[in-house]
Amino acid sequence: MKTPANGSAFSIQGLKKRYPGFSLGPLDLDLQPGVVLGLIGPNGAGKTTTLHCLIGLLVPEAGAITIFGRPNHPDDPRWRQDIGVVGEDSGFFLRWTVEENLRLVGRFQPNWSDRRARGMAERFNLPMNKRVNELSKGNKAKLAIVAALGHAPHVLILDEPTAGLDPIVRAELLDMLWELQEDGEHAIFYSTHVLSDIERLADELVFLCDGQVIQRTAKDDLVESWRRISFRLAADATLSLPGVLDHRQVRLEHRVTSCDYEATLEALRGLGAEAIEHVRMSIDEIAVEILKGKGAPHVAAR
Amino acid sequence: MWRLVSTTLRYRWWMVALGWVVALFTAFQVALSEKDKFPLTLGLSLVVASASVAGLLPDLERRDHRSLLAPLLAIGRREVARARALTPMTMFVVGTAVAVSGTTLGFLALGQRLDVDRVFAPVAFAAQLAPFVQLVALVTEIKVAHAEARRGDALVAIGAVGAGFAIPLAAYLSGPLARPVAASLAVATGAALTYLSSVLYQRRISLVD
Repeated sequence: MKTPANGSAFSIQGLKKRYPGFSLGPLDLDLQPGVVLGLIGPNGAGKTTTLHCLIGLLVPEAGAITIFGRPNHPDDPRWRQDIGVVGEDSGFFLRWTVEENLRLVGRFQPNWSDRRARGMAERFNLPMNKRVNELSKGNKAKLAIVAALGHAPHVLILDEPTAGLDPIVRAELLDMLWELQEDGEHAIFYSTHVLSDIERLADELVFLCDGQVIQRTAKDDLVESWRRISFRLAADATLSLPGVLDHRQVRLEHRVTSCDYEATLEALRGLGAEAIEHVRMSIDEIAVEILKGKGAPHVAAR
Repeated sequence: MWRLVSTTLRYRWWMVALGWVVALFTAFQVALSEKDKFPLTLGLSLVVASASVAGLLPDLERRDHRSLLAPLLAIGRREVARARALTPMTMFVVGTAVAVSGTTLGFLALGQRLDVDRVFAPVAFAAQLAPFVQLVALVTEIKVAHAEARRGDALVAIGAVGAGFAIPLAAYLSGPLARPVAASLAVATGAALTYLSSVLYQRRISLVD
């Protein structure tokens, strides 16, 4: 499969969207081919609004969006051939079978391959002859993914695709996506607040809170640099440690959260701290710290 | 655009068929007491059934979140808007054609003479119902325009709904000589409302129903 030679898979520049009591942006975001970008944020952060603007379901107040260099103009359907969209709900014809729905999508996608869609459906045990309204939630999600990929798009946009799924089906879906990204040619934009979903998949993470990007970082860098560190130090020591975001102290025992643990450790050694121990943090824990507004390092001595 | 229209019609065919069965049943009920009235009753019932189902169609599609299917298809907003507006009208036109056929068959079955006025009576009736077919769609557009603070669009849509009621009423109240003119006016109003419904959808800020 060849990806279009137009730089970014998508580019969002200066995107603004306002609702009563909520304002998104100005938002700048781009995604390179072959990259899996996780969009993380609490409910109401603006994830779905961002995605809806990207896929042309919502008209923003300002900003420019391009898909492989082509503006996502709502009246020009060509850019839609480059994207596959999976949402919580996909608007399928419920009384029609999986096969009928896939055939329908195929009629509207010039690059659609029945063979490819059938192959995926078979691989994921999707019952082609079952009506959509008889499918389990997991199979509905699989149908959405097969329908989104049947025309071999270069970008896959996922909006909470595993919402409400049990852990087994969720794992199956993540396996599907894992297989998909193995060829290294698909760009995936994955919006979720279930962080375990993208722990395995994402190359980069964008944290969105109150309509603003508060941090974008490579997942590995994040996991590598964040640590919980415990140590023993004289109780009256004034702590001024680099990278420390959170500090708790009980008598001589201290525990800090650091977003730059190497710098923190060096400083602690300089202060003569004893019994220093550090543990890695999960993406969940890191995300909570970031989204709680603790993204910018500061010293918190208590 | 017509692919979208035909897809929706194929998906909803059983609802129209159900409406037609009810129309047939109604006509048979009338025929039990007044046999001669069967063909015309059948024709008019088929028109009413088709208009009712066609009018409800936009709401049924909205409940199925059909707008969320659009991003999966390589189609533009304009095409979706036109298909949304034309689908109920197409269903209504098909229903009217079936009504004319039903009326004709009814006359033939009863051995009555076929004259143009009587055979095409359902068309004249359908013409006056044409504006009503878009009313549900327009009420939705009023709600959306209001929610999106597009006051001008909301007012236009309210005016259109008013016209949709007033013009067929005027047609009904007009004298027999003016009926063809009034029916033509009602059809033109139906066409205008269909166009307006399509334009208002294209002016939406959010295409998610």
